[in-house]
Amino acid sequence: MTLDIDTQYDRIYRYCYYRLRSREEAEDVTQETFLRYFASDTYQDTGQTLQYLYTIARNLCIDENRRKPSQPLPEDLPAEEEEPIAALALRGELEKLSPEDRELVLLRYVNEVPVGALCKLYGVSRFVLYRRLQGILKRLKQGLEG
Amino acid sequence: MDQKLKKELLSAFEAPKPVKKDAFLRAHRRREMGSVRWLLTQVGYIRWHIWLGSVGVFLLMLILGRTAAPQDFWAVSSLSPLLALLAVSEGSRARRHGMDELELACRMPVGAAVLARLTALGLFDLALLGAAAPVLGSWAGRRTLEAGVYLLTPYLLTAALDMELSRRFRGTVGLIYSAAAAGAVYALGIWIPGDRLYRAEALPLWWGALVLTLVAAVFETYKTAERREILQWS
Repeated sequence: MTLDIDTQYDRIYRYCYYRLRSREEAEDVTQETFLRYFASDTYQDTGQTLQYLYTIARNLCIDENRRKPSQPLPEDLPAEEEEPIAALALRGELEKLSPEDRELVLLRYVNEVPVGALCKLYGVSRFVLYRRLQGILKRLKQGLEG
Repeated sequence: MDQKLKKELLSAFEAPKPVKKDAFLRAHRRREMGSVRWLLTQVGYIRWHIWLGSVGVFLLMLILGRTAAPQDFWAVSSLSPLLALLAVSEGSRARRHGMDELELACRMPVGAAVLARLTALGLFDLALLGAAAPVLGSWAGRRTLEAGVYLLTPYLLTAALDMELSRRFRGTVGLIYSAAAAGAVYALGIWIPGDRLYRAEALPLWWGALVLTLVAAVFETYKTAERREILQWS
């Protein structure tokens, strides 16, 4: 029933950043997400808070992307030349994934959203989600090894 | 997933540090309620006669344990279904009084409230049974663990049955069926002769039954809380 707002802020922000590719817009959308979350007492106490938070964030990102005429390149990505080669290779493999699969990797393995919440968010069964995640991981590992 | 890949994924999805986070969180800091505090708030909503009834059953167990012959341990352990019945009847109070629709409209999730109340009463009953086991065990010439198994198994069996029944049947009917289930568990203790039911050779079976009833009770508690949540969302 409790939610670590501090941690979730960073995670929602990261999610928004990778959908919007702009720090300022990501931060604005993150704050709007939390304001809407705080304003709703009906949903936040039902034990489905993460699903609710990500649904708000996703819808706000979609609205924001619709509003923008074109998608600019990330303005302030961390400097790539300082990254180890393995991280660069992984970034390359991630780019080969579809945006939906990339988002799933971000949510499950980076933001650590529980499988149950992801199933509800995407409207799929655990079996389907596991298969999809296994497929993505396999492709990533094959890409890194090959 | 291996830790190396996870670390690399974290680095690959690294985002620039948010600059307005601290100011935002300072302005909108909310007090989240911890699990223990939530449990304590729900304890206040449990009716006093449920606590009193539980203590009454506990005292009755002690009186029977003191007066009954050591081989008549069933007379004591068969009372534990009554404790379970009291606990479950509190969990289905809103449904029984036709107030569940109103409860669903409350700000706090009904599923979490029911779970908290059942947990509070369950812990209280466990404490009572835990206190009764060494005393009754010594009076009946049995080890504490053995007496604990004999007390806990009918309790958990009744709790699981009653939760299932109160979920399936609304209102007073649910309570009647729950009472019937508690009576059936009690009757089972009477029907099987005490010297056969509580002999040393049967103890492994009792342990098996305890594990099964424990799993069933946990599962039923989860289903009861989950059903309230589903109702709230539908």
